[in-house]
Amino acid sequence: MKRLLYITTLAAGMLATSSCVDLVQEPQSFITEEEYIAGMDLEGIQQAVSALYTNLWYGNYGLNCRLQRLNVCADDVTFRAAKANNPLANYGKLSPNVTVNTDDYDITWSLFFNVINNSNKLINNTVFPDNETDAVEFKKVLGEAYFLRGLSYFYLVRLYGDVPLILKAEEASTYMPRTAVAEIYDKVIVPSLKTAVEWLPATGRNTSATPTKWAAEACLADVYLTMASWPLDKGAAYYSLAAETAADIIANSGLYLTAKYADLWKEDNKAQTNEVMFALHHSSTLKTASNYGKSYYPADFYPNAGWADYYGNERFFLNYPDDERKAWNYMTTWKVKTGEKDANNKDIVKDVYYTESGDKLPAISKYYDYDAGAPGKSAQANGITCIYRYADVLLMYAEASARATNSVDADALAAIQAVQKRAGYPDAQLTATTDPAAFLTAVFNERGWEFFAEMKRWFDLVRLEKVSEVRSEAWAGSVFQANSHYYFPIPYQQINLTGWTNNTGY
Amino acid sequence: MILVTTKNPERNKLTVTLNAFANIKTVAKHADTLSPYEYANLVNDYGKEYFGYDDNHYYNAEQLAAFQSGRAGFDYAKEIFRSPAVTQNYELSVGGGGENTTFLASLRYQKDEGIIKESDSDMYSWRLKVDTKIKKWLKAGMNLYGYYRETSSPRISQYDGLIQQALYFPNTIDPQDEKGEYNHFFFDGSPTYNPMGHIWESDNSNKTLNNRLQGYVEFDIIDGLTFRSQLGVLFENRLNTSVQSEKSYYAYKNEDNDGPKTQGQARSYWNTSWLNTNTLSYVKEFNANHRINATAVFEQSYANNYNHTGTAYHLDYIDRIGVNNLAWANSSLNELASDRTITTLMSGMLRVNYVFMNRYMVTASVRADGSSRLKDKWSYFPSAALAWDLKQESFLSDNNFIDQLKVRVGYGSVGNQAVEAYRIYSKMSPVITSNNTTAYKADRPVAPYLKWERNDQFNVGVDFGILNGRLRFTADWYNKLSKDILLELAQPTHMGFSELLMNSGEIKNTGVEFTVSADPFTGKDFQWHSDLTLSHNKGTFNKIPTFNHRQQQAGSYQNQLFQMIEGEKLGTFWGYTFAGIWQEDEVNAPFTDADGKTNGKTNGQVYGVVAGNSKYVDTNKDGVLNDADQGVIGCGQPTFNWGWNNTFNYKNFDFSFFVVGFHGFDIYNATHQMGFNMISGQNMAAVTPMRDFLDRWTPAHTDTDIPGFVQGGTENKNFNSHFVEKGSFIKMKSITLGYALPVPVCRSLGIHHLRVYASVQNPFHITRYSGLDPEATMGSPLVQGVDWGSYPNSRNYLLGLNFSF
Repeated sequence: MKRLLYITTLAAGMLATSSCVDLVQEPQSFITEEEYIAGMDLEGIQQAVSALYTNLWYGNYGLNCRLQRLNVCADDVTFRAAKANNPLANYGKLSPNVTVNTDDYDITWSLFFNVINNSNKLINNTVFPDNETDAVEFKKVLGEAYFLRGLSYFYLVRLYGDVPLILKAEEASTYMPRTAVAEIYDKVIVPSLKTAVEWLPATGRNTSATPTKWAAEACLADVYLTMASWPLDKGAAYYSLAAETAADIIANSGLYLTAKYADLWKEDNKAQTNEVMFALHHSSTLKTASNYGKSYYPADFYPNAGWADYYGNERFFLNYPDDERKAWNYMTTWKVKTGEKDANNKDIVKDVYYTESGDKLPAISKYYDYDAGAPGKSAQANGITCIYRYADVLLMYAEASARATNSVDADALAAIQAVQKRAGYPDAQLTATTDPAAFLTAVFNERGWEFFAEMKRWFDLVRLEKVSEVRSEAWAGSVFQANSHYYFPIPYQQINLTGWTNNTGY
Repeated sequence: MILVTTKNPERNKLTVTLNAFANIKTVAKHADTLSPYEYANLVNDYGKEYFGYDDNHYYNAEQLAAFQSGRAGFDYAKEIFRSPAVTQNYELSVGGGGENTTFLASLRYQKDEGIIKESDSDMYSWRLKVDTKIKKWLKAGMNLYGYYRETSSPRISQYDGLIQQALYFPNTIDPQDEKGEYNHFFFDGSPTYNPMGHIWESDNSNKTLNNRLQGYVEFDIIDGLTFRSQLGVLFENRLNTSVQSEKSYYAYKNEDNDGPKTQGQARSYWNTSWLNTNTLSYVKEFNANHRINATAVFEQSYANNYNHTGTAYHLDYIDRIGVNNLAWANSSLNELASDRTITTLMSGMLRVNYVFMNRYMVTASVRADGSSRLKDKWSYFPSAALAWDLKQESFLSDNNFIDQLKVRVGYGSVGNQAVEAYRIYSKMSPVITSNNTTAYKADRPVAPYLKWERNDQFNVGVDFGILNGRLRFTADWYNKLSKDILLELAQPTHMGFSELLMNSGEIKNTGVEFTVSADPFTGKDFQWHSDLTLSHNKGTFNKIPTFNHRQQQAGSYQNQLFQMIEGEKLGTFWGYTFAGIWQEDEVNAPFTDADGKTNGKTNGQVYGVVAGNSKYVDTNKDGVLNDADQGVIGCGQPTFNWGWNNTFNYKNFDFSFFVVGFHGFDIYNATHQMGFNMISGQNMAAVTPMRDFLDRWTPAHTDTDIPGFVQGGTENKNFNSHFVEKGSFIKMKSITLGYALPVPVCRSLGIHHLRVYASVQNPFHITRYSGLDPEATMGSPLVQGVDWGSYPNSRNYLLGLNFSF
């Protein structure tokens, strides 16, 4: 009996001290998405929307790298032929390869859908405050998410054609179909950008790293311009819409061109917002680096040999007028090692003109200021990936108004001349023709020279279907010619997982 | 529940035991690569054939002469290994006790040198175990054990890791130049990190202090009924520090505008957990015919793990201060992170075992497990077993030939909750934006419904013994179905995330196992005991819930070779079929598609190849090589395996050897493919010192499978059947010879036992596989059979001593 008493007291004591564990455990070191979005105050929504730019950047070899690589298909930037098994050679041949170049497609496909889905979460789940003025502040920030959603879909349809349409997370499913390009424009690109135009403020939250109402309008003008030509070919109606939108920016935004072209591409001027309307900002120390480093330096560059991923296309270089832009954009002479050493065992170097260099192509020096005084030392650099700037608006206006009315008005001439004057053209060289065809050719060329190596040229060539004209040497036998489209392949792993048919030819 | 048997000391005697051994490890096999002279000539030929350079473009005659005479050149593949590497182990234990109390105390020290240079481990461990009988019906005890361990190692990784880089680095390039700077380039000047930098700049240390305290009380309540309660507490502290100097791999890869980016990092852990087990058992023999053994268990556990990491970049005075003060650095780049994870588990089990007439046995049990990591927290796992001891039956009890015959049948269910803590919740993570503010991005989606994985197994077995126990034989057949497997199902990226963890998929494992245990000789002076096990297992994917019933294995690098295919075995390789080398006439032949139609283009134009490139089968003849042309090219799952252990005792000598064999599987030799620079993500020279290149395709030598040095075509980087080899092997695992001092001699010396022994481990293996070690490829069943720069198994020579008094 005594024993039983001992046992029960001891057992009870033990059970009392060791309490039962709780099987419901909530995270200790992070907040869940649902809780965060439901409880966002103004600072919270700013922090969540700022993360969308990190999603758009997507890593050291993300947007800034991939768009330039895809741009090698165009006529302004070319690849290094002497590099064995260079995957960029496929772009040079206008025959993208679905397996060899798969990284370019995997990464762009992933990053844009990442931005789209994260923007959707914020757009659909943000709880607006009851107070009207506070709600307006929220809308100013949320407008950025609308802008990014529209921008991402805009890139996707231009690169890949039909893509899945997702406006809410519930709509996404594994086997959902690819929606036609026209529907994507009508259902998500144009509406998102229009909402962005309505909600965004006139000055950005963070210089040009966040879009303003004018940046959204510039994107909308670009969208109308593209819808007017390949592949939707909606024609003059949309050209006039584009012209109207661009005119609104010219008249009301108060933006103006920076006095010197070179100043646009200087690290110290990143915070200026008079011309650059929306750009991705990079900082290698803050781990949001750009790729403007070794990839742009020639293979025999002294003191630090570059990777020479990109060179200037020689034919484009020779046709480029000798203005201030050409001087800034190209490096035609650089130091190389002669192979001999002097008395102190230091390398003897000499200057070579590009035609005598190893690869015989001019180098792209547009972004050299971003290398912080250490040319060719690192693959990563600072700087900006410029998406929209005021010069684009001017040239879009010039082109759109000429195509819409099939005539050249004074404003269009003023627009193109503003860009040319800034480039340092003497007055005699300014475009003065009122013949629409000649004018449009002038605008087309001016766009190529103004936006040299800004990852835009390919999209211009595609919408105007000028690829066969400017890349005639590679056109015959290319994948684009054989299949009558200008789309890149959807990443093959996505095809495996969804059962879609890839773009023809892949 | 796991049953652990611990050593228990004898009563009323104090025993001191000393065990020591030294293990000398050597690399069993080095790859046969070209000598520096042969390689330099090969590289010059590459220049001639690929670029059209003149003779001796990369290495001139003077350099060639230096290589030939051995004055120049560096054997990276050998220099990364320590030969020999020595492990020492010393263990001292004291045990004893009185009538009511016994104790065991032990200390151990083990010093390990890894086979790769700069990998070391020192471990000190201790134990104190005390059991005492407080009253006739009350027992208590405690067990304290722990260790302190310090390790360091260079960077071994599947991406640009040390082993594969050293194997294929041009051995004509010295690791450092005259000024002591590393030569970070290949023979053509293209940039790469010199493998010796991984060894010579390695500077890290991982320290762990781990202490477990366990205590229990056991009551004898009434006749046959006992209650035991045990509580174990674990404290673990870890400190992992590392310094990446200017010449390290990290600094090289992350050079920014301030130069090579040095890094100092310190990570510390404070992990505590406790486990409480309460067992109530009833063992009663009513009479000779009825025996019952019933157990009820209630168990719960709690773990609270916290870690924090501080990382600093661009350290100043890196050699003097290093990681001791991370504030001596570029403070604008500092990173801080910490994390706390709390997980809990609760289980209850009830088991009854009933033996009727000493020959019919029934066992039934049910357990309920609950886990905090899952959404559906509880699950129930029943099991039942029947056994029939035929030997006890009247018709066999007098049989002298058969001394054991037992038949068993069972069904059981076990659960698995191996999922990251908090995985059921979505997550926001902090990121630094381009203007140095903190933003929060969505990290992963909600895992909507995670529950226990179930493994349901049914098995039938027989135990058979004859000749008075000198020959025993057991056979088991089993069928295990694993349901609701936790799989990271790849998702199309438009869903917003690339993988989603779900309970989906089923795996089936069926097989048989035989063991034969024999004592062919049992004399006074000479005994021979032999054990042989044979097993055959077939593991297949029973269900893969994707639209085409297959999915690529999640993960990077070697995982991408594997496809999980419904109906196929685990470890199936997926890739293209290799079809030799494109010859000139094939390249110029017109392309014909599946219907026999031509399109005016040659094969070379359609596939983008020239003569000398590798050729792959275009299964559907559509002119493109994509996933539709890939198929099953091999499987890494062994069909059957066996092990044979023999022990011979002659007077005071003992000799034993242990052999294993694995048969019926393939190995994908990715290490060989890396040498051709055909695996993506591995930065190799355009030509590596592989002997295969001497047999490459040239216009003069076309009958070969090795692609040539040709320009203008395409050499794909994909998994293909050319690198699938038969992997079956037989390996001698160990041979041991020992001598024990005879008992009378021991007694006269006043000691209890003394034995010395010598052993060789992995002395040799027999295989047709061309790589270094087929056994190193046997990893997790989902991804086994791939050789991806694996850490080689070493050949070890062991000398040891067991001594007690």
